[in-house]
Parts: sequence; C-alpha cells; structure tokens
Amino acid sequence: MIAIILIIYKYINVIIRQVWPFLLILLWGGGSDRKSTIAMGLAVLGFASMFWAILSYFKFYFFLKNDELVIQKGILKKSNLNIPLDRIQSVNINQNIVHQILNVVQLEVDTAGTKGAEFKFDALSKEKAEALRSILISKKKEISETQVSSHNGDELQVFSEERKPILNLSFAELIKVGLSQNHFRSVGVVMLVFFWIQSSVEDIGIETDKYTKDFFDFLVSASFKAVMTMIVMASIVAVGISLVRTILVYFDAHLWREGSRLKFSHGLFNKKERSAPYQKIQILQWGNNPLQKLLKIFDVRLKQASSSVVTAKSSLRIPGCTDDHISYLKDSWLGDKALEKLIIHGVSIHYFYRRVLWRMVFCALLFAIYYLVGQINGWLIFLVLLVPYFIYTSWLSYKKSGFAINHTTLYITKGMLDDDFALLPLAKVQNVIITQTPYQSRKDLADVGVHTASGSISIPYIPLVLAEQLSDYFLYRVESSRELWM
Amino acid sequence: MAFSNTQIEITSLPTVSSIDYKGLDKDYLIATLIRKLFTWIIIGVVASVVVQINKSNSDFKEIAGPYINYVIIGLCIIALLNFLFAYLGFFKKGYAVREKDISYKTGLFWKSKTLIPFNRIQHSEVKQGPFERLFGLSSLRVYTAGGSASDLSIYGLKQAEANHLKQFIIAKTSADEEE
Repeated sequence: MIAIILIIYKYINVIIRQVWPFLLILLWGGGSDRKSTIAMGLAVLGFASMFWAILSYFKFYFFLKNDELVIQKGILKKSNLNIPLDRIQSVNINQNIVHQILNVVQLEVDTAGTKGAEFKFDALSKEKAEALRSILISKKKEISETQVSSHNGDELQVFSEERKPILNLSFAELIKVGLSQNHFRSVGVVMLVFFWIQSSVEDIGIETDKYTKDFFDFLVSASFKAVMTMIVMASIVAVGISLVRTILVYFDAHLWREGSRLKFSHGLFNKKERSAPYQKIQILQWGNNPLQKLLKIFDVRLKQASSSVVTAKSSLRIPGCTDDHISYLKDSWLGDKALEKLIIHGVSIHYFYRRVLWRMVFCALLFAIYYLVGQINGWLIFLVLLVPYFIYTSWLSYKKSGFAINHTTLYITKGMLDDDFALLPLAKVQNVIITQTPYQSRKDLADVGVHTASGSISIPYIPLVLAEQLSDYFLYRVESSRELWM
Repeated sequence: MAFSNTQIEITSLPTVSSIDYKGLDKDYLIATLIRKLFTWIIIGVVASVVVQINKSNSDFKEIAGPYINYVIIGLCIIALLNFLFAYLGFFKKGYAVREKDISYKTGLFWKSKTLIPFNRIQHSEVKQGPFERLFGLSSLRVYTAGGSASDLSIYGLKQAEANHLKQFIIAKTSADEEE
C-alpha cells in the first residue's frame, strides 16, 4: 500500500516538474475553449500513466536464486534480469522526505555492467532493505572469497565486521563546515537557478530581457560604492546558501568502518547511506581552502571505481575531517608502509611562466574590452588588481605543485589559494600518457597523466627524461605485480 | 632533478624512450587526405551556395561584399594548412607492442604517448570507417577502465593486421587471467 502512495507521489512529482509551464499557462493564460481541452488531455494522460505505473508495480518481482538476483518486470513486454551477485558493486540505502514520512527506504543496487546498470527498489521497509543488503553483500563476499582463495588463500585479509566509528559530525562542526565552504560555488548555484527560472519563464512567453537589460545598465552605470555594496550583499546571500545547503546535505553525518569497507551516512530530509569498499577506492584526495585552513578541517574525497563512467556519485565527499581522520583513512587503506619515504619533488619554473603568460593574455583582452566599450566607473581598479592576483596565484600554484613516489604509492600536491593532496596506489594505474605542448618540447619538459578507474592525476612540467622514468616505473609496477585494481 | 627513490635500479627498467614505434600504413595517409578533400569540397560547395543565394540581396552585398575575397583566401589557407599538418602529422604517428604493454604516439606539435599494460585492458574493438573500408584499413580501439579520455586508438592498420593484433591482445589478457 505504501508503495502505491509512493508511486503516486513520484508520478505527480515527475509530471509537475515536466509540465509546470503548461500548468502556469492554464492558470494564467486567457480563458478559451482550447484551455479546457488541454487540461482534459493532460489529466487523462496523467492518470493513464499513473495507472500504468501502479500496474507495473504489481508485476515487479525480485528474488534470489543460485547466487543471482533475479528481477522480473513488465506488463506487455516482460523482461527477466539476472544479476550475478559477484557483479554487484555496491548496495546503498537512501531515504528522502516522503520515504521518511512513510517510514520506508529505497535500496539502490549498482552493478559493474555497462550504462545504466543500476536498480532501485523503492518502498522497502527498513528491516527488509537491511536484511536484503546484508544477504547481497555476504553472498557476494562468499563468492568472491572462494574465487580469491583458489588463487592464493593466505593473502586474504580478515577484518572484523564490527562497526568502528571514524567521524561523527556534531552540529557545531557542521556549522563550521558550512561557513568554510567555497562560497563562489553557491554564487554559481544561485546564477544557475536564476538562469533556469529565466528560461522557464521565457518558455511560457513572459519577456525577461527588459529586466536583464536594466540590471546590466545598472552594472555599467553603477558607482564603485554601489558595486561594493552589491558584492557584500551577494557574499552574505552566498554564505547563507552554503550554510543551508551544507546542513541539508551533511546533517547528522557519520563515517564508520565496517570490515573492509567505509560507510558514510548523512542528510536531513534526504538521508543517504553509501559505502566505499577499500578495494574499490582508487584515489584518496583531501584539501582545504583558506577558510578551512584556519579551522583546521579538510574535505576528503574517496574516489571509487563505478559501473561505467566516473560520476560524482561514485566519489564520496566527506567534509569536516581533521588531520587525524585523514591519517586514519590513509593508514587503514594503504597501511603505513605505503606512506614511507615520500619526498616531494617540485615542478619546473616554466610551469609558472606559462601560467602567468596565459593569464596576462587574458588580462590584456579584458583591458582591450574595457577601452573599447568605454571606461566605466570603478571597474578599472578590479582589472588592475587582477594582474598581481594572477601572478600571485600562479606563483602559489607553481610552489604547491609537486609529486612524491615510493615503491607502491604516488603522492601529488597542488593548489592555489587552497591546498590539495592526492594519494594513488600504483597498482590502481590503468594507463599512462606522456604529453608535450610545443613550448614543453622546446624546453624538454612533459606532463605525465596517470588514469585510474575513477579519475586521473597529472604531474605537470617535469623534465622529459624524468617523465619517461616515471612512466617506466609505473608500467613496471603494474605489469610485474598481480595486484588487482579492484 | 634527483630521482633515486627505489631499490630497483630505475635504469635497468625497460624504457619508454627506447620504444621503436612502427609507422602507420601509407594507405592510411592517402585515405586521410581523401577524407579531408571530401570535407573541404563540402565546405566549399556550401559556401558558394550561400553566396549564390544571397548574391542579389543588397544588404548582403553591403555587409559581406568587401570581405568576401579575404574569407575565400582565409579558407584556402586553412585548408592548405590542414592538409599540410595532416601530411606531416602522419609521420609522427606510430604504435608499438611490447611484451607487456601496447602504446601509441601521435602529435606534430602537441605530442602524446599513451601506454596501456595488457593486464589493464578491458576489451578491444576493430572498427572501420567508410574511407578506411575503401583502402581495406581498420582501426583498433583498446578500452581500459580509465575512461574514454584515456583509451587508445590505433588508426590505419591493414584489416588483417588489426584482427591479428586484436587476437594477440585477447591471448595476452586471457593468459594473464589464467596465471
């Protein structure tokens, strides 16, 4: 029964999202005979598809059989899907606000197959979902363990299955995380929403050009003071938005370890629980911006291999971590041996020259536009400030770019105003690409790109000889060991 | 820059710099040039049709009239450079198969070398475009889990050679799994 309510809710949700401009026309647009016809048509269509959805719910079965998860569905076109349990990559439990009200959860099964190979089971009771998940995972483990032990039994690592908490984000820490977000991103979100609303409103035929034009006229004629006021206001709005967003997404965040996997649950209305088996993590990234540096917290990203393409979804972002959390993650993932003797080498000074050169070209363009359009009050100061800013950030980015390598691990540092670090076990390398721009060719420099199943890492502007030596070593590591990347 | 971090003598490893790349089949150069010729003929035809249609339009004459010769000259120069770079670039392309990996290099100005170990190959595919078919050429694409940006495509292989290479890769990868 609950499932049917959910289906109805989902359908109404989808329909409203897709046809809301039409609905607006219906509510606003001039009354005519056509209006009622459209309304009738929409209603019939809506009910028909809802009926169809409910019908397909009754024809949807799933069960376990011989180490396979079988899904049967379809009313007219029946389909029978068999997913071998050892292909299942991850099982996640999600709960949005409607799920919470109805006290059910959604189970999401991700497989290693090709595109779109994931299944969502809506409206399972929490106990049922958890039982199913543990069955899926334990079965999967059994199968893969028998496979592994037939290779080499003693390499099998045995972890205790008990829950070991790593990070629990309290409300105060959550506020800290929210205040130290990258607020430019929030500004971006606001702009996106603004443009989306604008285009949607334009779709139903309301002129917005006039308002936009007024706004730009204002920008052009505004005095320095007015611009500053606007910036301050925008910053306050941006901080507010980041704070709200952070609280919504990362409320009650817990990171814990369960056997050989990490689990992360978070969310206020949309509760999510996601897992990252150590074996599947390809890259561990962490970093902080100047604000986060003050508060001594980091954003951690666990990049794990996913079904087909690298999506943001398969990378777990864990905010508010401290040094201790990161070193726990590093050690528990790679062991402390993997982190020995990581001596950081810098990159060539030409990296700095080139960055500055391109940014100066950009500045020159801006100056040209400035003088062509006509000098506008108060804007020149921003342009003039841009030059030292670019030089400074390029210098920082040159200073912070570096790499270190030992027997098993590649370690990368980079950043401008922020600091970013990444750890990559060499066994996870999929391929190596050496590239040279014409400038780099003249200076005998090269970039080395290392690609993994979840994103890539690049070492910029190092001597070609060194780039080739590094590639030789990466390839040697991958080709000489039988260590799996997943 | 000092780089002696490992117990393995780095100099004793097989080196990327000493790989002997095998150039692509000469027919592929001809196929590429013909394909480019085709593209440029289409561009030329479309451009002249546009000009012919608008010839009588007085606005068009006023705005575009003085520039039209420059545009034509510009397009010709771009086309010539395109052919020249395609010709020169051909000699920079090449592939190499070693015992444990496969690599492809390309680039006249922006150079790149891609190296993929056999034990990371997911699958491979032999493809054939219409112009390649005329010359009995194929291309081989090698897929890894590293995403499409990092996959490797070898163009301009004779069809038999491409299939042979694919069989070789399959044998290599499956031998790897059995070990």
